Order: sequence, then C-alpha cells, then structure tokens
Amino acid sequence: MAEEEKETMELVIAGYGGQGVLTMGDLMIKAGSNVYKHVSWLPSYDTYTRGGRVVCYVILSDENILSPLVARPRTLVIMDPVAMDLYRDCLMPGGTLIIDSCMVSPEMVGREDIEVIAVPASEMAQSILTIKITNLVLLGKYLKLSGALPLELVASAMTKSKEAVLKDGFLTINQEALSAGYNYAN
Amino acid sequence: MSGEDERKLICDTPDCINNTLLPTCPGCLHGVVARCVCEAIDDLGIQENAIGVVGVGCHAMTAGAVEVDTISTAHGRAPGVATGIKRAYYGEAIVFTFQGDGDLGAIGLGDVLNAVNRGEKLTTIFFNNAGYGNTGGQMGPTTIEGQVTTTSPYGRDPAQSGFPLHMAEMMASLRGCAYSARVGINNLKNYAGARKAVKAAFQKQMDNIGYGFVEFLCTCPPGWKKKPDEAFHWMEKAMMEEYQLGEFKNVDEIT
Amino acid sequence: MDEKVLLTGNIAAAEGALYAGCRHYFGYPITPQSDVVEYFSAKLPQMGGEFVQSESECTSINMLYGAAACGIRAMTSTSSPGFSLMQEGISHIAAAELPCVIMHVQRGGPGSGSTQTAQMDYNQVVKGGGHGEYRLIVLAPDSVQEIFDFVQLGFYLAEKYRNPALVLTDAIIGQMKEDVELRTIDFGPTPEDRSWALKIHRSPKGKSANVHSAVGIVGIYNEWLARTNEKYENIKRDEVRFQSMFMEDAELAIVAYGSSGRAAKGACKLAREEGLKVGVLRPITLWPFPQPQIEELASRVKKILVVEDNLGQMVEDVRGAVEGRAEVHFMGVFSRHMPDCNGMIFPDTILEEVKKLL
Ligand SMILES: Cc1ncc(C[n+]2csc(CCOP(=O)(O)OP(=O)(O)O)c2C)c(N)n1
Ligand code: SF4
Repeated sequence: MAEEEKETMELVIAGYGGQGVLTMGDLMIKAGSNVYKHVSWLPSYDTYTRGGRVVCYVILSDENILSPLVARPRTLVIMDPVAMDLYRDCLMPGGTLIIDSCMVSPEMVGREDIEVIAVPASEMAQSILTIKITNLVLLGKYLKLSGALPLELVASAMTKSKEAVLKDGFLTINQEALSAGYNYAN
Repeated sequence: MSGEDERKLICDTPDCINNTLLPTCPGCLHGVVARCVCEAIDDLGIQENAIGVVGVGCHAMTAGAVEVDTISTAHGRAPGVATGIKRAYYGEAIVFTFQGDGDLGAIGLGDVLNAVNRGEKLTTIFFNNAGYGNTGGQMGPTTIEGQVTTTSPYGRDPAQSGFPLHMAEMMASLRGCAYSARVGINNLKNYAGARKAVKAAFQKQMDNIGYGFVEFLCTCPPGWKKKPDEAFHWMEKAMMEEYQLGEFKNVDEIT
Repeated sequence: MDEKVLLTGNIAAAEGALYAGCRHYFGYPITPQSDVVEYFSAKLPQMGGEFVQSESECTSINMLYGAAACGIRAMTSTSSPGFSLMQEGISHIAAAELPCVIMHVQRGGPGSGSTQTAQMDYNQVVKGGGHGEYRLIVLAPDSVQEIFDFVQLGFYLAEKYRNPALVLTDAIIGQMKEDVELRTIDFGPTPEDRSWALKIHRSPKGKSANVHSAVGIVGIYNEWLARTNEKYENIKRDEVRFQSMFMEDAELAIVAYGSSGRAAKGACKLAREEGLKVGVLRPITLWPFPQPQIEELASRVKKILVVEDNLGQMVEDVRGAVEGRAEVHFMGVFSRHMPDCNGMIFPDTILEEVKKLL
C-alpha cells in the first residue's frame, strides 16, 4: 500500500505543573505513533513539578525528526497568563493559538497576524466533572482544527495509559472531555 | 460572635521569620519546622549570631524563611561546612544545619557521625519525612518497612534494603552528642515540646557543651502519593509507631 | 519481529542495559535521571537481577567497582553533582581496567546548578575528572534509539578493551520520548579471558585473581602505563565514531554533539532549504575524539561553527584539531531561547548564526 506522505505536525503546549500539559503531548504521540512514521515528545519543566512552568514540544512526522525542538510552531496551546507572556511570540505568523479563555483573556494576545481560538475549557471541564480534564478539552479542539489525528485514535490511546486503567469510570469522562472540545464551535 | 477587640493574640509571627513564600507543597510540614526554629531563635535571642547551613532537598528551601545568614552546601555535606564556620568564628557563631533524611541519613551519614563524634558545638535540625521529597518520592533510609516508594515499588523489604534508620537514638549513642530528641508537630502540645527541644539543642551549643540534634517527623504528600490529610494521618499512625517521640540524651557535659 | 515502543531516553538506557544482559544496577536518585533508578528497582527483582539503591553516588560507583571486578555486566547512572562524587571510584576502576557502563545525564552546574539541561561536563567526562592518567570511552547519543543502542555498544567496547565506558546524555535527550526499536545488537565476540575477574568455585590450585588499582605500588608502574597507553592508542585508531550530514559541498560545518547535535541537524536542514551550503559533523565518540575527521574538515570548509550548551569546552578540542586552518566560531549558553535554566539552543537560532557567518 503506497501511502502518501503526511504533513508534519508540530505543536507546542505551555502552562504550569498540574494542568496536564505533558499528558496532552503524551496522548498525541501514543496515538500518533500508529499513524506517523516518527514522533517525538520533549518536556521542559521547572524543578518544582507543582506550579512550575511546563512546556511540551510534540512532533508527528513521516520524515526523520532532526530536532525535537520546535522553535516556530504553527499551533500553540496556552493554558495560563504567564505562558502567554513567555510563548506567544514563538507562534508562526498565520499560525493558530488555542487558549483556555477562562484562564487567559483573548485581549492578552496582542498579535494581529495569528488566528486565536478561545475555548472556555476550564468551565467546560468543570461542567463535565472537574477542571482536571481541561487539557483534554483543549486537545479535542486541537484535533478538530489540525486534523492531525482522528479523535477515536486519541480516545483509544487513553485506554492504554495506566491512570485510565486504574480508574475505569474516569475513562468515559476523559473521552467526554475530548469530544466536548472537538465539537466545540466558536 | 464577639467583637474584634475582644480577641486576644496568642501567637504572633516570630521576629526571625521573613515572610518569603515557600515553594513547598500543600500539606508539607517543612515550613512548620522552620517556624519552630524561628521561635526558638527568638526565645534565646540569638538571631544576630545565628548562621544556617542547609543541605540539598526540600528542607533546604525552608531556610529561606529564617531571617539569618545562610549557606547552602553539597548534598549531605552541611555538618562539615558548619564545622568550618563554627571554627572560623572561634566558636562565637551559633551554627545550625537543616538536613533531610536523604541528606543526613544516606549520603551525609558519615559527615554527621564524624561531626558529632568530634563533639562539635553545632545544632542539627533533621527533617524526617520517610523518604526523598525533592527528587519525587524515592525510598530513603527512614522509609518504613513495607512502605511503597518509587524505588521500593514492592514495599521496603528489609532483606533487600535494610531497616528504617533511627537517627535520634543513634546520635544519642555518640559521646560527642549533648542533646538528642525526636519531636512531632502534629498538635499544639507536641509543637510546644518541639520548640523546647530546639531551644535545648541550641543551648548545648551556646553553653559550649556539645552537639545538639532534633529530629522532626514531617509529611510529604506528593512523595507518598497521598492527599494532605491522608498524609498527615499516615504520619501520625505509621511513622509515629515506628519512630517514638522523646528525648534520648540531655547531658551537661560530654564524656 | 523487532518491537517498536515509545520510551524516554532514560528508560531506553535501562532497557538497553537489560537487552545487553546487564542484571546488576546500583544508583542514587538525582534529577533528571531518577527514573532510571526507579525503573531498575521495579524491573530487576522480576528478572532475577540485583538492584541496590546506594546511599550516595560515591557508593554507587564503588558497588559498580565490586560487581565489575567479578566480570559481570553491571551499570550505574547519575547526573552532574553525582558524577562529581564518582570521580575517585572511576579513577580506581580505570586503574584496575574493569569493564562497566556509566550513564551520565547532564544538568546545569557548577554546584547544585539547575535540574534542567546543559552540556557543561564535557571536560570532566572527556579529560577525566578523577586523578591520574586514564581515559573513558565516551559515547554521545543524540536520540532515544541511540541511547538504547549505545548502552549496548558501551558494554561491548568496555569488555573489548577492559575499560569503563560512559554514555553521555543530557536532560533533553534523557527526558524526551521517541520510538525505539528494541533488539539485542550483536557487535561480535568479546575477549574470552576472564582470568582477571574475582571468582567463586575456584580450584584452590589455580592462579588467584588480584584486582587492584595500586598500579605503581602492587604492580610495575611502567608496564601498566605502557599497556594502557597501547590500549588507548588502539581505541583512538579503531573506535572513532561520528555522523556527517550534507558535508559533500559544505562551505560551513557545524560541529555539535548530543542534543546540540540534534539542533544542529535541524538547523542544517533549514539552511539547505534556503540553499545555504551547510553541513554537520556530529562526534559520536567524544573520546576517542574524531580529531582526524575534523582535521580533514578544516581543509575543506572555510568556517566551522561549534555549538554546545556551555561556555565553550569541546570547541577547544575542535580548535586543536583545526590548528588555524579554518575559522572556528562558537555558540553556547547565551544562545538559549530563554535567559534562564529552562533555555535551550534552538535550530533557528543556529540558522541565524550560520547566516551571519556565511
Ligand atoms: C550528589 C547529589 N546526589 C543527588 C542529588 C539529588 N537530590 C536532591 S535532593 C535529594 C534528596 C532529598 O531528600 P531529603 O534529604 O530527605 O530531603 P526532602 O526533599 O525530603 O526534604 C537528592 C537525592 C544531589 N543534589 N546531589
Ligand atoms: S515534595 Fe514533599 S518534602 Fe518537598 S515540599 Fe513537597 S511535600 Fe514537602
């Protein structure tokens, strides 16, 4: 089966410890490794895991991944105001910025050359069950916008993670959060 | 409800504390230890001569709250550095170390044993939280039998990794030690005892008698993978059962 | 079928050791490699191996000394402050000529430094941080797959030459996840003579083994020096490894290793897309250093840019090899994307520098 080479997907996610930044990236590569020839996931965080800065660089590609560092992502997910200050400028002109509008106001963006997708993700997550699944709402939105991976694949990648196995009931909640983000219309 | 003016202040901020926001986790007792040390320093009026020496671990962060000169050292090496400072001021400085169980009981055990054995006039505040907090909840020398940690995933097995280390008792057995106690800060009564113990340990140094050692039983909710309240109860139950509180040595002369 | 899985570099190192048949690990927790210690603590008891959490890196390396002296495959790992504590032991292991593997996941120094990435221990690792005349075989992977492979290669080279081997990574490649093909690599046979190792069930009449590091006290010093010198010369001749990319028509060469090598490759690709004639030479063995290759490079390109996440360490070795025949430029910590310990050197920053130089 001759497969067409897919476009390389590069994503940067930034927030603080405990928001699930790294988990989002992890789900992407778990699902992505079934579809793309190569994937990479690079975490960067402060010494203190709780409340410290966290950034995750994700690449899905059919080509060899030369560098796992993504300097100019086409998509950027921002989960808090400090991350906005630190990372907004790296987004490529014409790129897409996905923000949790409950945490960061769209006015903070201050860039005209990008598309801003504001998702009230924390509120949506809370209305499903808990703000702990805010990351999945945002991930759902990213999947819809980028078409990087099918929703079902990412949803099933969650079943492979040990946290999900531990809490069976949580799995459906997680998948609900992912779908909510995916189906959220601005 | 009674009016504002009828309230009586029973407890104020110690003079010796600076209100740095500590980056410790919710439910961590390390900050309370720092406060207790501040109160003891206030009680004894030794702030101007006190110098803090800290090891490596979360306990080191709490030194930021104590408004004295401080120095940070390599992992486990505080007693040696403290000796240098003490000797540099020909004994006039009041030097104390902040050390965790990994820092003091594992990597730095040799250092502290030798400092105590030399009969150094120093005071060590020992934070026992039954494991390594800072590096993410690995087994430490004070991890109790059967306790699951990230490096004892099947529970601490004495056949493989030995026994919980009782530092306060061990220190008491050394001839250079003038004071050794294990204290809790889980309630007001114990807290008052802890404050007294820290004062006594400092007093041995001030009176030029010998080494003073106070072991605090602490918590580490994320390291133990427990919620703050669960961690607190586990400390009261499991840790206090293994580690009896008490004074193990209090002498006016080392011989 | 070979298995392809997603692993972090640190876990890949542990798996590499297990695939190489290593069943003995001694270690002490330190960020950013505590997960190696944790992984072995879970795995080895289930595989009939031995895991010991030491009380310090000082002891980790001495436990390794003991295990390696028995002629078995054993390993330790650490990060910068812990590596400093190991220097004494490493010097003794090298003196006793024992094969073993050490993995060093670099973080920022000096002192307690930072827990984030850096490449500041090049000199200490490559020139020998302990006392006396010894060399470590130093392998510098730049991907998770290479970490997995090089731990196995490390065991092979260590046994082939009876010399400790070190796998040098950093917080970037140690903590990143990539897909890895898990398989045992056959590098060929290693020397069968194990007469030097400490043994049990020994025939009382046989010659006893005496492992020692007092090479000039117990032994004849010059014999030891001559023998190890010959060994080191053989390694320099036969074991240099490097990766060269886009070098055929390059006018500027970037020399970088490990995670910086990865960024350099990314930069090179960006440069080529813009039609710039840039190539990369990535040393894989930091000792033996690809000196002959860099010497040769100096006669082909006008400019060389050395990129490393420090204040300039390997660049001195590059200058030594180039001997003024090409311009040598340096890019280091001040080119990180953020002016703190979270900073990293990105491909596009390297590209900017390349453009300035071309
Ligand atoms: C030589 C060296 N090895 C390892 C470390 C990593 N390290 C930092 S803190 C720590 C242990 C912390 O445990 P503990 O002393 O019990 O203090 P806590 O964090 O629990 O307060 C370790 C192993 C280090 N900094 N230096
Ligand atoms: S990790 Fe543990 S010891 Fe460290 S600050 Fe948090 S609770 Fe306290």
